[in-house]
Amino acid sequence: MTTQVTPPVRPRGWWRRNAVWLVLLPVAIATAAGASSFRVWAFWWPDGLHHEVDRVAAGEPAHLVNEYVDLLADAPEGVDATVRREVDATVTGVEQVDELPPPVYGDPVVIPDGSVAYEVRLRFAAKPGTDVSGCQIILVADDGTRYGESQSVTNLIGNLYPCAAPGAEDNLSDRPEWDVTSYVLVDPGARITQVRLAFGGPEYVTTDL
Amino acid sequence: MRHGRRRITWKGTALVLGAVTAGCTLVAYVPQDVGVVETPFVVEGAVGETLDLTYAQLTVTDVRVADTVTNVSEAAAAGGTFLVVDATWRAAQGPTALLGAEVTDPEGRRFWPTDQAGCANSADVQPGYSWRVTYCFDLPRDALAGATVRLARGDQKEEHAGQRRDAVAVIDLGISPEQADTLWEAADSVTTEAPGYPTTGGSAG
Repeated sequence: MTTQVTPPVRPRGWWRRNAVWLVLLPVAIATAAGASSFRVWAFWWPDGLHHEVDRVAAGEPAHLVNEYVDLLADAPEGVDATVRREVDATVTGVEQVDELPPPVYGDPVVIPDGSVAYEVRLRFAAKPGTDVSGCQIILVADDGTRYGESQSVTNLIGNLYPCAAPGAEDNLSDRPEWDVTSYVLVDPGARITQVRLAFGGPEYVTTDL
Repeated sequence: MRHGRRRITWKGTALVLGAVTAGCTLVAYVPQDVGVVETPFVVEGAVGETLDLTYAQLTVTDVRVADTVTNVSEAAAAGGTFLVVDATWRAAQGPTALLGAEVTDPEGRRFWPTDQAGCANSADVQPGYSWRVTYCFDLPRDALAGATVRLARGDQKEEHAGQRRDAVAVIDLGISPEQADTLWEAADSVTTEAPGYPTTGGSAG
């Protein structure tokens, strides 16, 4: 079986003939990867703490900056405004305690068997009117275990806004500086090496102990 | 770009069609080893044994049956009988949602938990403390003997899709056919406790 092939005057190789497509191939691959990675920024990135914006030693103020959408119009910018929150947080003390203080409401919480409780003291500085709801005070052990990250059980003493100033009426700060004491249950024997602070993430700050 | 010298030939057509057919045949008929790709890491155990699922430790502390389960606000009557499974979870790494809870009988029938009358069908835990949860499964009489309970982080929907390549606890509840008859006849009622820290001293059998 023979086919009629006219030999080209100047034969061009496969790479030359497909040069345009070869140049476009990496562009197409990058576009496809980008288009199919929407789950990373749509689902994974906003859910959890992924971006350490500051890291300091104990006693130094960590500067936490993040943006959030103000669904409840707590800030004067209005409903659904994107608000920039800036908070300086200094870890002033982390120590194990033998009992928990009486809760804001409800029955006293006894430290459960098989757990130890840590008291974490923080000093906050932020401009008045800063939203401090949804705050997470997290203790990290040397093996990477994160204690107290879920907000639902972070506040063992029943305060709705663990990072609000004592006696504050709501989730907006009403003074330039205030101190906060929070409690976290930890595995006995765990060696706590870091305190992390976040307001829902993905940004957080770390204080090395 | 012109390729004037290209011709559609029988040979080329046959090659393309043959390749497509071969590809389709491979995909359709070669058995895919889903076992390697999708099987969960099953940790088997018994009631009272603490199992390590890497993301959490799990102990099934007690198994009871009840015709009705009640809590402060609600009472639920079983269609068959409620198998009430008390479990204690302890997270190992960070906040963990424990979504999988299912009872399987020896025939392979799968029963999902009810959320009536304070029974839990999932749990949220984090490291630093143990968390007690009560699951209630409404089972027919012939599902009791040889039943196992399967608890995990991933949910069991879509043929256990949430549990692929993840640890899963399968606990033999140790119910013999004779015991199943006794359990079925018992007309007990169980008052569920809200999830919480385990109380000292464990549970009464």
